[in-house]
Amino acid sequence: MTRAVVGRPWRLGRGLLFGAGGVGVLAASIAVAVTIGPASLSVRDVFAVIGEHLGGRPSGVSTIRDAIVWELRLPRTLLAAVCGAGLAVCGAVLQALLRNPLADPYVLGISSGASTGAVLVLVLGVGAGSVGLGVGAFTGAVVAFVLVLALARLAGGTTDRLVLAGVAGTQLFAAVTSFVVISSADARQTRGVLFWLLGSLSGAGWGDVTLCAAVLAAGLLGCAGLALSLDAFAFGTDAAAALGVPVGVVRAVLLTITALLTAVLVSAAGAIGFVGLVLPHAARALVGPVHRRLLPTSALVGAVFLVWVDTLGRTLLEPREIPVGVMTALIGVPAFALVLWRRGR
Amino acid sequence: MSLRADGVSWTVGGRLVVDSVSTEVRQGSTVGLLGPNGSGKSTLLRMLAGLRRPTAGVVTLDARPLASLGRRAVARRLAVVDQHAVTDVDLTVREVIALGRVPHRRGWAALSSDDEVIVADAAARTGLTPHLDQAWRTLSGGERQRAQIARALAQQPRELLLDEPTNHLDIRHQFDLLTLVRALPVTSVVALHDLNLAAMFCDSLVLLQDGRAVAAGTPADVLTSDRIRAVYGVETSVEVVDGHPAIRFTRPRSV
Amino acid sequence: MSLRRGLAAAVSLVLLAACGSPAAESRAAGTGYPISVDNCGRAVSVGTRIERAVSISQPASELLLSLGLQDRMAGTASWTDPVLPELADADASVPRITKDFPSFERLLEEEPDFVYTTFAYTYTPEGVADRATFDQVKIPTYLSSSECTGQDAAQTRALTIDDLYREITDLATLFDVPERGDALVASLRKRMATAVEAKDVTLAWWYSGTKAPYIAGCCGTPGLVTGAVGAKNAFADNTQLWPETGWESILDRDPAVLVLADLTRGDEGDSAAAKIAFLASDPVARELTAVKNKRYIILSGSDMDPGVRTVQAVEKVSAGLAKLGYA
Repeated sequence: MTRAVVGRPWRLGRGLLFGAGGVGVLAASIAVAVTIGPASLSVRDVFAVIGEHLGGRPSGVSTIRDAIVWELRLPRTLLAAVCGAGLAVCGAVLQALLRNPLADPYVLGISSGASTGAVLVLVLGVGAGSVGLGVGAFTGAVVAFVLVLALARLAGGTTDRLVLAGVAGTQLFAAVTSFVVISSADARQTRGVLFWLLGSLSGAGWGDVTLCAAVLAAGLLGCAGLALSLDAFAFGTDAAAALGVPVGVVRAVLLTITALLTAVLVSAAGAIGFVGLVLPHAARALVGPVHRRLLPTSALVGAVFLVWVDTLGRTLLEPREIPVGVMTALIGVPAFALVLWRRGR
Repeated sequence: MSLRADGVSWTVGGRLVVDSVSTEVRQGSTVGLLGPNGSGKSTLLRMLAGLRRPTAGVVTLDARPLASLGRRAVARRLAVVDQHAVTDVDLTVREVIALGRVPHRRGWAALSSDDEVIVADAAARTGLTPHLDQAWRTLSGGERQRAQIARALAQQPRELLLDEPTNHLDIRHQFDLLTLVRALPVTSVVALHDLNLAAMFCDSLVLLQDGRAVAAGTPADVLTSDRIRAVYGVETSVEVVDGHPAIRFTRPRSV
Repeated sequence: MSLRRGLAAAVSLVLLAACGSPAAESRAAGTGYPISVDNCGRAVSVGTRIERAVSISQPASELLLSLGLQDRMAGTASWTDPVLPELADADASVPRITKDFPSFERLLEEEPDFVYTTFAYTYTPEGVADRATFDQVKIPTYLSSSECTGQDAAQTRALTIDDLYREITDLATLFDVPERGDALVASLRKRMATAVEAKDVTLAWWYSGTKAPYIAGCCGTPGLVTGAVGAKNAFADNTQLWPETGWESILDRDPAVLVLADLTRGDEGDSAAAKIAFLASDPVARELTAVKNKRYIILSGSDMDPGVRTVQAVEKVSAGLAKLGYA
């Protein structure tokens, strides 16, 4: 299978060039996405508003239109980029760590747990009022993850046991979610829950963006520092240990980083599927499996992808919004089929 | 001094897999580990590599316990080649060999020019230079093993541990591989199935049966037909040629 | 003001009912049955006098109670708000099966001979059971025409007040109390005539949800009420009943007045207070003209479902618009 970019040893200059190009594409995508939306706003107005908020001169645009750009479109687009990057990186890390090309950030029960937490708050009113949906989701995610780890530990702690424990945990929490929804929610509540379970970026504010971006930055740094260790896992945990990697420690650290990052992203935007599963493969097709290149590429590819998919989701059936998770599945499934077909070749 | 095992044992699930084995691997020599399936060869090898902690006894490297040395430090000294390397990751041969530089590199650093020279050299010594940019998965079984050996060489080890490296190779490649291993300026411990290969290519042998070392010494000392009968349960006639035993297997009477 | 009128209407109804029943009974003796009406494209046929009707949904229950049929009802289900005060006594005499949707078996325990609902969801396996299943056990069912095509399907035509009158007439016919039906319709017509004629005002109706709020489309009760008071619906171009709408569209259209549903569920953005608090604090929503000028009209959730409360909704919205100076 050939790569889009030939896998010869990378010189610093070449890598930087490619990285700069990727960042450029991302910036351009965000810029374009912010100009798209149901309200009629000229491109000039959009950038004038952004300019004003960044310290430039007044844009002369009404406060409503200013709010549309600065409080709605921009934070939402940025959150899409952050979530796309974070989920893709987590997916790449877990695929290497668990030696499973079908692993995604939710394989260890995190999205199921988050859904359960969110649903308990939404439908049963647990923690009534004071506990927001996001906090409920985050708590659920962490609880599920800890339970899965404990279960894996009980079963022996190997990689396959971990995946199996993840499957069990996911099913358990999905069942609890379904039970709560079916027994307590009326039809409209069910719709509301579904919207959240599928992943939705509507209502994203600057608070969400800042929190997620901060956690993403920390997570990326952590994973990047362990890029070599991730490469070492290619031939298994024994091979990695034989290459000097402290397997237990590295696994624990990476699992924790990905779990926390995923939990935060899911709490902000719901369980957006397929990004963490498919995009690492796309990134591998571009730059190969060496993590020093793969991780930043996954982040960039994920960010650009989700920015565009979300833009599509909010404009296709305007003024209605298609939840971003529906869009990623619709696009992700054929993309995944393509990946599988190419692997088979 | 090199690698040494002192009364090491390994117990799992109540079963004694390796029973108090002591052996010393002399610097620069090629030691063969022999024994039927289940005799504990692989496990002993793993303990020598520091991948398993002995339940009793201690493995030392240059008189220092292996467990007290850091993971990275051990990996810079000691390289392991497994029986059967499996991966789903689509690495090129160059990238596989470059994995050997992991113990020498820091988390995010790119391959230095020195690293690249070492990788190229390892590839040359294993005859893989024309395949460097090929996908590892597209190589034949023999070539893949050679790539793993190249990776081990890239670690610049002083000790090389190989677990049945010739298993799925044809005869020509079995010979080539073991010739290469002998020629390397490293101390090697090779777990082997084939008695004749062990006799031909090893300086000394350790014969295991049910986890215990039942014989150790030169091939001629270890591989006698009585001993082979006792351990393997087959009839042989052994002829010593140029100081090396050549084992001829007797066709069983019932056939 | 509307309450008093409602009370007057209810009192006159009760008197009428008291006068009316002997006549109805004498007519029902063997003649007139089976009674049939058309409903959502199928025929609903009642073979004998309905004695144990069950209404599942608050609007359905309130409609039957408004027709004074409480002594022919075996139970009610699915309540979201407190019952209309003028119907409180009548309601108290009818057992409440459950606040939510009963299971099919639980419903059958009441031995109903007629089931009426205004929610299409009721006639699904997730709700209670579909209408074919009811047919199998020979229980006639009626569904409000406002949801013939299902809860969220795009509506093929706008709801009108005549749909409500027809529904009242249909039910009065099925229960064999046509004169009560006529009386109720007449009193509702009278009340509808008092609706204001608001000039140049756009309304947006917000049901619930804060991230992707449910805003009324063109053709359900909100559309009906908006038309009745001469105003415009900011989202008249959407044919869904309650589509989830992005805040950007809401900001873009900047409706003059917001009609807020005051739900008792207690979820995010359900109560009117929660909505107002959200609108005041959210950096996006607070830019709306309606929020800056606090132009809100508050209705309870049931007011926004098709039923007898539609008329009350028209009255409340009229009053609200008048107070805000639009009529």
